[in-house]
Amino acid sequence: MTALAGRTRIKTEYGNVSSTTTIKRSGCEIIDANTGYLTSGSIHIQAQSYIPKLSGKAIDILYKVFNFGKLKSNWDGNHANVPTEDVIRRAVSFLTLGDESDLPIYFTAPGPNGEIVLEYKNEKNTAEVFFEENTFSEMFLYEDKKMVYSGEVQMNKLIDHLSTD
Amino acid sequence: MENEIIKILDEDRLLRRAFFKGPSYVREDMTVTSFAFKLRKGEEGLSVDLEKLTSYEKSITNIDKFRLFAVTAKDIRSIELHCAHNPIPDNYAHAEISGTSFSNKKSSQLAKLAVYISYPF
Repeated sequence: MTALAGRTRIKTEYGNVSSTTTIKRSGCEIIDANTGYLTSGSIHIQAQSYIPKLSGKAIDILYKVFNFGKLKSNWDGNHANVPTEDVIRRAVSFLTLGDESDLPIYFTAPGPNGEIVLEYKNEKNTAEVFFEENTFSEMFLYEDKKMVYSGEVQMNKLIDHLSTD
Repeated sequence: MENEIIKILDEDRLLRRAFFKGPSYVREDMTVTSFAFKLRKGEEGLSVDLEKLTSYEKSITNIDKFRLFAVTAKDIRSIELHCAHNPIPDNYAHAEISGTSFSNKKSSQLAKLAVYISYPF
């Protein structure tokens, strides 16, 4: 095993701090719920949850998405549903992940049936990513007004579509 | 006369209201998001107004809350949806957009085809 030089930061997705359980088995000392500390010989590993720094636009959209959960039932006066916590959580998770890949978030809105859409836009292309109940999600990609993809959400396809290269 | 069902021609435009405030379905560039054209659970058709039978003032109903968008019957038919005049009490201009495959994809396409009506400004 190669020794780590100096202080090394290991980035993982949220919730994937491979877990306190594993660290416990290794005999480490748990500092708090989100942080593990392992000492084994000369190797020193500290694991902690990683909170990415979001862009200004993503923060603005994030704020709006969380506020969708505060809407009242029938918010449109025509029996609209409020997005569930699960739908909001999945939209926020995707927004965060997309922002780390510099996806150009542009717009968000709640649907009449409790859905949430995240919309992305660069100079020539747009994308719509939908989150609905029952873990359903799909995306549509456009070149100008021409739909070039419709189907399941694929992050790599979305990144390629919105790449400025 | 107002009991008569008229045939919608390809060049006819159909008006759809979109939320403009809290939350908004209208983007900064005055285009509209798909949800303005999405069916609610249990709905079989999307309510619209036939432009030539109404006024913007009547169709928008509340200028503080809504903005109007128009789609031609030709565009609606081009994505394999139907439109039909369907008068209701107090609104002779009422029509419906429907189709057996009225999916999220169709709603998204309708939104892309929709044109902003510059009313009241």
